Amino acid sequence: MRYLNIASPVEDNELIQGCLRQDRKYQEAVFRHYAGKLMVVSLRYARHRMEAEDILQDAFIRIFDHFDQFQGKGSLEGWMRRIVVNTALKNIDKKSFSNEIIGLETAAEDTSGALPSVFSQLHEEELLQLIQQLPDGYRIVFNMYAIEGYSHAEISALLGVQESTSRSQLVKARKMLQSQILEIQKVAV
Amino acid sequence: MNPKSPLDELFRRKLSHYEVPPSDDLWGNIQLARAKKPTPRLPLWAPWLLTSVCLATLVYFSQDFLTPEQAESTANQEKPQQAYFTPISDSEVNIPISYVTPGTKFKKEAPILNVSLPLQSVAIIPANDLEQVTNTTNLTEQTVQASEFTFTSFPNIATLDATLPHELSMYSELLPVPFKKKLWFAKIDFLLSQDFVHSSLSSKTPLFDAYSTLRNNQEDLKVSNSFAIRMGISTLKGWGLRSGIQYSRMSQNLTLIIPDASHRTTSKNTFETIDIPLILTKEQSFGKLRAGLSLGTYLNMAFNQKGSFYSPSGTLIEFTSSKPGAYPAFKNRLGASLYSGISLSIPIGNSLEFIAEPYVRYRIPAISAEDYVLEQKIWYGGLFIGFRKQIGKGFYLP
Repeated sequence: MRYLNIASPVEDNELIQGCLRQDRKYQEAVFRHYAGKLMVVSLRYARHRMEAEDILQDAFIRIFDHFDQFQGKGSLEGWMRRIVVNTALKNIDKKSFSNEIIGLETAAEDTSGALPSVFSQLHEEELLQLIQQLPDGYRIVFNMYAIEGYSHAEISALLGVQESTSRSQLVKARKMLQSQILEIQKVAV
Repeated sequence: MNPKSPLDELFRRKLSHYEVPPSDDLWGNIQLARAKKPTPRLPLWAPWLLTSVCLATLVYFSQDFLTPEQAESTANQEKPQQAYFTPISDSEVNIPISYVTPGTKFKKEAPILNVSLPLQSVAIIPANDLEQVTNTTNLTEQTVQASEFTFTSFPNIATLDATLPHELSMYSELLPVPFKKKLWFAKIDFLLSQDFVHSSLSSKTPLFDAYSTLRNNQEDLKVSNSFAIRMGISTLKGWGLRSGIQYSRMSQNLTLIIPDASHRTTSKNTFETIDIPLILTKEQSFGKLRAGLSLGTYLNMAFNQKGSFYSPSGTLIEFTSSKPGAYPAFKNRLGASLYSGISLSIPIGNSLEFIAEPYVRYRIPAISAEDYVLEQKIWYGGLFIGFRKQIGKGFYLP
């Protein structure tokens, strides 16, 4: 089967028009073009690949059902990425964020230190696995803050948790990731 | 820009362009899931709209409206509407009735004197008794005694006729009318209403544009029920001022369609407000029907919420104001709202009226909290129905 190939914004615009018409050929082209990138987003929020595929499926259904809501203010990829994130967050149990606050609201965040060289030698797949191994609350906040670029206020609004909870989850996530990477380094040495 | 740690940057840089292909059957699964469409449902507010339309229609047709021909005929019969003495003779007497005070002198040579006073009350005063007219107490008594007659052009007779305000028609006797003071009437309203509440959500940042659109699409029109008690005073000319207390309870049915269309989830939310209305009214009689325009403000005293909504991710977020730790998405106090309504009333008993008052109300400040990502504004449209009871027979302000 031959798929439409998209590479430029002009072609992107053609895709958008096609999806607005609910043309299945263009929908499939969008899926083929963006599924790989969006799968990574989904994998970052999910605990395993099966859950990630479920998230991605739900997200694409939502994307095609509500394509008319894409206003063209940003990129199509950015809009789709947000939907994947939102879909991933929809089944989050808020208990994931509870009982994690005590003693960590005031924990200082070390944002200036340089990373050991081993960090940059890690492959993408390893980084992805590290994120997936984080507890739910840590993983979600780390993804939203560190990679998606949400502020703590926005995370608070999106998840319905206090800002202090978001901050504490981020601190814990970073510490856990650092310790895991150092463990890898020790094993490698 | 968020302060990033090197660790954050590492993950962001390495993963931002990384791709992992999904399984081959994913596209097929998406197509299968999209083939299942939810069945269309009647909007939840449709029954309320129908009820209100029926009520409005009922109120409209329950009035005794005149046809244009009848109105013209009636106008010809009830021509005198002046509020001053008008001698038929060449006399120059022309005194506004409100200025008639005890001791006012008239030219005795005036054979006939037309005095415009409230309609339905036509007083006949023999010209020989003109001197009695100079005393307003006597004038009032004459008016009462002669209220059943309608002579207007008998020689040597002076007449009084003019529009009788609706308030006065409730009584079998006319109130004392020392016209140099303004007569006020005290009234109390007991009202119930069924309102439609329109809510609009807008994003404060482009980041949440999609979310605001989704919420606007998902959240049904809210329906509100209100109960109000309003105390008011009004003048003979129909000007009035009303205030009191109003309790409103908005209910919201928030429906989320699960993306694979397998089922829908509904959250029932309630929003309660307590307001103090402050309303200026102007009313006019049209036969039995009395119509008025009401304009004013509502001062909000309390705003409580109970329920939950969905975050952009579809997570259920509870915002119940009385629950500790709930997400503070709304304000507790709303400032003011603007009110305008059209009141229609008909007398149904001794000093009792039935009222129907369609209205619109717009809340000036947003109901959402300042730091919430969306701004939510609301306005109401509804129909008050109830009773208006006049207290006493009127009074004079000191």
